Amino acid sequence: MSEVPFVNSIAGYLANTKCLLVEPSSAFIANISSSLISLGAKKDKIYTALRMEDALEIIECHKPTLIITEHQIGDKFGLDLIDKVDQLVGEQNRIAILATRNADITSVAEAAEEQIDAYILKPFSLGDFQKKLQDTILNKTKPSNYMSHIQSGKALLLNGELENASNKFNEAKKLHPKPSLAFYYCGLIQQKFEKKEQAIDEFKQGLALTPLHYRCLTAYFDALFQQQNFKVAYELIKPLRIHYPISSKRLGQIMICSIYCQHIEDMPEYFKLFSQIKNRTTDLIKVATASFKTAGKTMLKENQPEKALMYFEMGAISAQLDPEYLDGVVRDLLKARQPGPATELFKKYPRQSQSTDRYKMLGFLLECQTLAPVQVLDRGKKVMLLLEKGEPDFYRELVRIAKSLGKEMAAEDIINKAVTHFPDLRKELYALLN
Amino acid sequence: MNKTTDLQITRITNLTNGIDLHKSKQNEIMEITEYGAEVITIVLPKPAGKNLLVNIDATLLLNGKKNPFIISGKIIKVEPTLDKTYTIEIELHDFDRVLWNDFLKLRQEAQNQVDDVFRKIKGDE
Repeated sequence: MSEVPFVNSIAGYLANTKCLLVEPSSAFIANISSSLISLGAKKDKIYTALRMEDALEIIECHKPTLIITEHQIGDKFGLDLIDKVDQLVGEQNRIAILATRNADITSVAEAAEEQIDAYILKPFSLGDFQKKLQDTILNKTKPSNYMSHIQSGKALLLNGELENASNKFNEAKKLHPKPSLAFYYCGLIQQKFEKKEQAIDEFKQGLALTPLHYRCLTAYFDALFQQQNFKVAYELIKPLRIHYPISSKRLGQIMICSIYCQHIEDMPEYFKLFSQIKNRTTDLIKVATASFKTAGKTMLKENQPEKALMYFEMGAISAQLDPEYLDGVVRDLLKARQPGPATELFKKYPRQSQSTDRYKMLGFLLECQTLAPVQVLDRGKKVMLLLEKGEPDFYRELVRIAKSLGKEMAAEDIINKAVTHFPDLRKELYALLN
Repeated sequence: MNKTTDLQITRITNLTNGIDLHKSKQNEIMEITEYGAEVITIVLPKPAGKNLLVNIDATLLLNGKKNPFIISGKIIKVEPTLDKTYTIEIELHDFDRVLWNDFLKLRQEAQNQVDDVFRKIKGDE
């Protein structure tokens, strides 16, 4: 008996709603469109876009309030569309659903954090899709008294009416047995008022009610991270890691925390997580590369070259074999007189960068520690002929070796070559010779 | 969810005369838009006749493990799409039901896992 008004209310909602489907496959568009129509949507209110640009134009022009999008459209992300919709119609007035093949749990977590209302894996059965759509519409359009207060508070918060929003969230605290979400939003408002300690207190109260409340946990972590209280923040990493997927942004923060707290031993686990993330942001790549490099350097200082090599290799993979990174870590290893591990990393140099001066000089520096001086001089002279310009250190080293072998003539040839590129070096190099 | 569960169709032939309706080229994945206990909907570049009996060569990936999967069925609906392809709905007749049910179950589990992550992150929302 209760199903009729339920279905009617969904049909009523859909009949009056402008829908936007953003999907690179026409077949899926047809599939989802017919599903929507069968549930009550009007054909002339369903807009479709195969490309991101078209979707943005439709959003500007028609302001749809039900958006169903793929996770990735070309090289752009469906989530970015939702921000645009929220600016125009407000988060509380729209429903956003990701219908996607992407089952990566990190992407799911990111979507949930980004105010997406539902996440449906493709391909799906028509029945499952319709059920999910109905549940989502009902949850959003017929919220509980508690959620109704939360939604009103969020709208006020977005409008910058912080005092009114705070009142709404505080009222909400009385409407739920464990109102952790209300505490979370109160914490956000305290942060807006720059009351950092009060904000942390709200998050902690939320966690006291629901110890693993995701939003309170991550907000508490973020607040500690901002205060650079890495030691306490580090203690929150374990529950986060065990119970939730780690997003790209969070993984970067976790790595920074571990480095600051000297928990280098955790880094291999973070490397695993890093490898599992499909959509790595540039920021994460930078943070991961720097973290593994720092971990490697720490191991070098502790005279553990094998571990240093392991972390430098993780960094090399994170940096996608960036020649600048490889150059830096090989030089670090050579400074520490570790030609073996340095050779391992040198071998990873990408083929397309092997014609550069940087590669040739790095090879020479490596040979300085692996070959006898006579051979090094011989190699150095050959490398010198291959260089476009080289660098001062290369010529200094070569002159020193020639001098140590008593080969003054060879040293002079090297100086003559060096000053064609670095005229200012003449005096210094002759000083070495004399 | 780390190990793939998927249905990959490589070939569809007319059951009565053995002629290919479509055969996947290397690395080409035939798009499947919908599936259920007794039906799948796929996308083909050319139309096919309604009521045609077909044979489908496919692979069912169950948690990363490949299982050859042969289905015979009947085309019950053909519809053009905007980009000049056709969605073909096929009623499944003869196939390994145990394997198919395992597939449906794993797909449902994957969706449940997604829902679970969603619920946990949204909290009391």
